[in-house]
Amino acid sequence: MKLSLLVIQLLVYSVVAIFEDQAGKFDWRKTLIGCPKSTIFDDSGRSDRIVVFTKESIMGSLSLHTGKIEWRRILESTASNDAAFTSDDEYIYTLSDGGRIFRSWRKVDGVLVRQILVSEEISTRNSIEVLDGNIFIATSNKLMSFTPEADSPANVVKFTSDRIFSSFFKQGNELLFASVSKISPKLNFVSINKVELFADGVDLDFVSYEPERCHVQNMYISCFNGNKLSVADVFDKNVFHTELDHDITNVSGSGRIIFARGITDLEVFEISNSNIVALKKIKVTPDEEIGFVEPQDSLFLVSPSYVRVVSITLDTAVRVPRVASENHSPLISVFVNPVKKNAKDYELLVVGADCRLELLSVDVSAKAIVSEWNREESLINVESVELVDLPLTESQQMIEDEFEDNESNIMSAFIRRLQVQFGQFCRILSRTFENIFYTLSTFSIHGNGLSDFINSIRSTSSSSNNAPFERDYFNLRKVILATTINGAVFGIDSNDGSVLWKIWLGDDFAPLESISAKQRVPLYVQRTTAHYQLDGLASVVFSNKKTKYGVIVTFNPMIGQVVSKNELPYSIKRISLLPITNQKHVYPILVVDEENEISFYPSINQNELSSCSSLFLMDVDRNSKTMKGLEADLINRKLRTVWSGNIGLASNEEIVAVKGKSFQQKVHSQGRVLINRDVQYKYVNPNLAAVASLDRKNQQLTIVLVDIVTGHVVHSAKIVKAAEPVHLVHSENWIAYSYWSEKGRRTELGIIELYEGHGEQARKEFFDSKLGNKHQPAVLMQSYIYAQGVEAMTISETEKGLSMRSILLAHPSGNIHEVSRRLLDATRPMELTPAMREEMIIGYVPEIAVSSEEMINYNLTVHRVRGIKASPSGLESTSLVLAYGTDLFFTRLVPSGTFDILKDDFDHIFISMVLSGLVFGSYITKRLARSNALSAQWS
Amino acid sequence: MQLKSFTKIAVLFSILTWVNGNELEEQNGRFSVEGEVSFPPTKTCSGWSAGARILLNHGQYSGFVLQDCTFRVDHVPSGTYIVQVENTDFLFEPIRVDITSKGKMRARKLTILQPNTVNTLNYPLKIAARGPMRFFKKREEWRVTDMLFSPMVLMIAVPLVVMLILPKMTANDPELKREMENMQMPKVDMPDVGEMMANLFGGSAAPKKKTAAAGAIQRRK
Repeated sequence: MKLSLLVIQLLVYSVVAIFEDQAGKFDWRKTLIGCPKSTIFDDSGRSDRIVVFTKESIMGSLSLHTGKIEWRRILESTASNDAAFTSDDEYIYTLSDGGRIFRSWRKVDGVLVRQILVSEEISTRNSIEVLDGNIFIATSNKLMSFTPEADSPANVVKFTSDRIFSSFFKQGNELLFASVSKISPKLNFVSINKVELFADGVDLDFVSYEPERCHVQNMYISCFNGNKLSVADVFDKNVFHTELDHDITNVSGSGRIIFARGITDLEVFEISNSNIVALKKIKVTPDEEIGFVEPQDSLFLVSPSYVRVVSITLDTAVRVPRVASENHSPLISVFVNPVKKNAKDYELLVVGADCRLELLSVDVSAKAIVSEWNREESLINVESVELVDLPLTESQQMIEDEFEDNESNIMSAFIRRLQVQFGQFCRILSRTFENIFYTLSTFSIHGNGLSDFINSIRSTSSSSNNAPFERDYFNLRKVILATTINGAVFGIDSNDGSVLWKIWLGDDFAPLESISAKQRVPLYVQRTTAHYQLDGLASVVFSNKKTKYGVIVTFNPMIGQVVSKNELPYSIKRISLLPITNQKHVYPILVVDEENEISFYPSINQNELSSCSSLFLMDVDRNSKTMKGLEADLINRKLRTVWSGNIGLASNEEIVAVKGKSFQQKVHSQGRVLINRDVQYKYVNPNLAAVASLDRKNQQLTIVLVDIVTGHVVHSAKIVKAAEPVHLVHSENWIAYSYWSEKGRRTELGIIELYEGHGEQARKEFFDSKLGNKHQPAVLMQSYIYAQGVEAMTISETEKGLSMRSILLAHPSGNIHEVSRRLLDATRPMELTPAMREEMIIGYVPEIAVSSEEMINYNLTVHRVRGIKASPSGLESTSLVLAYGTDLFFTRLVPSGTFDILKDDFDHIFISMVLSGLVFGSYITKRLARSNALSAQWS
Repeated sequence: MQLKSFTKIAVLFSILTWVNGNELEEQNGRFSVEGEVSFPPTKTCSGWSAGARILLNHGQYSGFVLQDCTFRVDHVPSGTYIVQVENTDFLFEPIRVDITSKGKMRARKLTILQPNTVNTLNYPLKIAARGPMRFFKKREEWRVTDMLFSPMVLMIAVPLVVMLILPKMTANDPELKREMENMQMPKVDMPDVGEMMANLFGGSAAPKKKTAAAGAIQRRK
């Protein structure tokens, strides 16, 4: 019996894995590094690179020539941004995890070389410096020095009070540590000799230090206050004060040069001979960002449309235009790297507010700018994702046209049919000719031999990249819309992951705050491209940073063109897509403001609204644990409370997940066939919401299924000894969830399935919550052991909901595991009877095995996965999946195998060649046989 | 009775102290989990470790592998942890590590089905690779035997043998030949495709075909 069970399991599993030659055929991965906080240009070793340390506490190395990631290390993500970072010729030194762990890494390949435990407590202000192999580390309450050999500090200086500022200053072989404590505004010094630390008796009077108003460079600390600028020279222990004729907004600098920037002016100062000298005054516009590095003379003022190169000592200025992107974000930093070979060449790494990295190579003498590469790093913060179909092809449009108007008579319909077919014929001809030309040209370029010829024919069928931007036959190619919490919206080609367009949502962008205190940037597809006369429409909703009022930006999802921008005169309390369309086939967005008033974008008239009888919403108050069932009165545009209550949740429980169902979800089968040929009907309630709440003290997880319309609790389940992380998905008539079991010290997956109670017939085209059920629905529950952690969970979606669904689980190790619903099933019997075995039912085993072959992303791991988006394609068997975290990973998923399409390794050419060979052979043999018979007759 | 209540109190007391102790550790005790990773020498540790991480309890705590294949995960409070090696090259078995409040370590084999079975391992951990990670199904390879024994080939090959080789064999042996001739094979009239076509689509193409057919008949005669 066990063997047969194993065989069945193997059968199921064998469906999931992919072949090695399929890797990269339908999938791609985009690795990201995040928004750079600091960078180091490095030309040691064989190739030039930029070592980047990002806000997402990721450290990585980019190739300077291509912008590709050479290596990347994901460090501990702490809430505060407190990691420090420095480097020398060979190694990179980091102080991470709240200033507690020091690590050194090899620059070339990111291999960890050394690791020292620095301290026990978390500190918020950290700095690190290396001199002659000795390491100096400052946390908020102590300063330590380490020799290259020992893992324990050689010397320690403890501070009496916590530091709010600390930094190392290097001048030749001299090292100095300066810090500011919480209680006094004085600069406190520690001088360093080899590994010995000497607390300097001298304290320097300085203005009160505020990190956002100060800048630290080689040996100066400059701070501003209003129009006053104060610069401290740490080695000379001297403070310079100066006053400007305008307010300062920002201070920066490098070497002996300090820039004080106002709104319209940039003042350049130089420190020389113990004095601060104003060198120059330059007019600047707000969209210019400055980049400068000592000992160069050129100051770079980079704006999205040009680069100005201004000499700080001479009166020369060069303005070089660059290719401006229409929809640009302001720049936030410019890193300058002078190219060694040529004194007039520079490389600028420009970082935008949307985390776009661009490497510009500037030739000052030739007034030329070349954009070497760019990276859209904002994609590391993807918040919402939607997949949109491409527009119909010309021939599909013709067919649509043909069936569009029904008024015409037979004759005109016939003529139209002829026209359409003639058009199709022409299209086929032109495409064939194109293919032939392409094949011939490739054949003539690198063709000798039959195998080359065959390969070139094969490659023509797959060279769809230069195909027109239209729907493919199976609707497998889509545009991925993604919003990020940085304020950029992307359109990504699902074929290869290239960015098609980008919208910058404006400088006033701020994400919406959801009840779970998460930042959200919701995205809604209001009109798909199915209506070919009309363009598709999608909207992104966010709030204005200054006014906190809501903003809705509507755009065309194919080309990324903004259609309208609605600044709402109130802040958004709740937002949702209305399930009915207006006359222009647009699903309006329903916005609820603070006064519970409803409005629609775009507007919808009373007639159209009347087709939607009533709309119910559920409001969850996380603090008071009360749920409110609200009915939206669409005509009077008011919300009315229908029910409210705590649905049985205790006060010490915390709501961790609330999941409803999408109104577009399709349920194909109304029931399941039992082993006695009976049918058990599914309890498919579209108004059902699943609420998961966790009692941390008693370690209890509660899952409540509540009908939103009536407030009726359909089912409630308690799981003891459960802890975070909890993930929940809800689809059709089942809820799957994962939790950490404290008792078994393992992750467990649970599934709840709902079926109509006894005698209750699945009758209805429509489900009516108000009608009520005579019997409670029958609930089946089952739990399974799962050997991995779960970071995100989602369900595969197919077009008609006919294929078996799969549950996708993202592991912290970066893999995405596909579990078929056949395995995660509440109806798996404990004991298999022969009749059940005949039906290929899998018996219950407590564990859902995790094997590496079932990972849909094989070795293309995706870390810190925040969500997985599944979307149907034109093929019923295929679901398109995008996982987003520190990387983006896209693939096609076939939860029940490719039953509706030939396998991708099906060899058309081989088969047709064999067939024609056979025909030809039979003809030849016939000839030969005939002559043979003749000669036999003669002999 | 007296004794019973006393034990009850004792039990209660011990539970209370245990809870207290637990809370204290949460604040003070922070320990390090150390160990070493080993795998077949085909890959160097230094190159491999750039893509590897050590995860405790599925990412609750994490650490990196040094170039000499050792690792240390710091600042771990006492408790029970599952130690896993995150990488894409080798398969490693997870190990369960218990840290007592005093920082005493105990490593044991992780059996998620029966979490209470104790199968002690050495500490510091030695995690050995069980084999290379397999992500793909194997494609069916082309083999000669597969092709020879496929029903299609057999169907063609066996009649071929009967038709070609048997007459050759019988040619040398007149007795066998006579026997074969005596064995009356049922004659199967295979329709000629050309003729069939000609019959089907009579009309214009017919005369030409007919002459050809007639020629053939004559030649046969």
